[in-house]
Amino acid sequence: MGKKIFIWASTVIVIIASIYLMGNLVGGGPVASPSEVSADDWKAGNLEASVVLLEYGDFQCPACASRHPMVKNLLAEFGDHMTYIYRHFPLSIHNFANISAAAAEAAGKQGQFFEMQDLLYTNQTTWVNSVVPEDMFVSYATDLGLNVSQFVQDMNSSDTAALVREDLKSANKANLPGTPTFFLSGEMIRPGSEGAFRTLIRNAIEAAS
Amino acid sequence: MKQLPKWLLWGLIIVSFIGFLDATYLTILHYTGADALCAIGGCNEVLTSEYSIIFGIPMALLGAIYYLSVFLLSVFYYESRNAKVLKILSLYTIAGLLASAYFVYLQLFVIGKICQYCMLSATTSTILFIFGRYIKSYKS
Repeated sequence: MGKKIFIWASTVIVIIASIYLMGNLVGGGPVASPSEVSADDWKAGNLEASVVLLEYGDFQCPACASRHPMVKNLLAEFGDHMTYIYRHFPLSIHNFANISAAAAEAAGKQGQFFEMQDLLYTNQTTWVNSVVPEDMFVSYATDLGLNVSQFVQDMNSSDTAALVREDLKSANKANLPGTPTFFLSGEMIRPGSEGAFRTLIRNAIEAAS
Repeated sequence: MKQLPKWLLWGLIIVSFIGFLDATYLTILHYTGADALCAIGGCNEVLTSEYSIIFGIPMALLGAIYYLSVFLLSVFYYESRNAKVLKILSLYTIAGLLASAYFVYLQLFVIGKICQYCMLSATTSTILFIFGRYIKSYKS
């Protein structure tokens, strides 16, 4: 009996230890600074400002959707003094992360990236639970007054997928812990509340001016 | 009934454990979206390809579950000497071989890129399959 218990207890320990070890091998590294602002990035606010708020998000991620109103408020408040950049970090656990990112890119091609971003986050639960999310994206495109056939073509094009993949690559390269991840002028921030977020941004703007 | 020789039992335990480590690594990569450490090019393309998920479940997770069950069944045999386990094991390794053959086919002919972790998995499941045939001969 004692031998049996010993065998199974050691087995369980070996399994847990190996999962832990593999986990360390994957995600143990520190977060690096994200790649520089590029011409391909989607920017809002004051594009000349030295303070840059960079967000890596996934349209299907609930935490991103819950942060979205905060980001919108802060952008309305500080938009004259900072650049806001949004990059895609489509997580593989979300089956519609890539196509929703492609929908935003497709809207962006017609000059309405942030409008689509807003619709995707605000209506996240609706399209995530719909039968065909792509149909919902098309209806958002219609609401935004986009050229719908062009939108559909862009959303499904391999070029658009490549743009999303570029963002994903930069997220992986920076070893991001998850979504959303925010960088304020190159430094990762983890504000717990809108108030803390506001203070961080205000301080950065004051320091820059 | 003849008992399984020691080398075969330990072979099963060790090889399935290696397979388990490999598949666990890939599963964690999948869920964290991190890049794999690749000695040869192309493994991230393979690991993030559309074939890496079936019915919403990452292949790597299925692999990890497969190897873990072979591992646990082997430990169970070690502990109980229950001959029924051997029958399950020998059948089970056929499924592992077929799955691996399909993945090698995907890498060589569909995706056109090689992922070293997947090739390691193909090797471990082939060895387990060969062990499985040995088990059969011990049973009869």
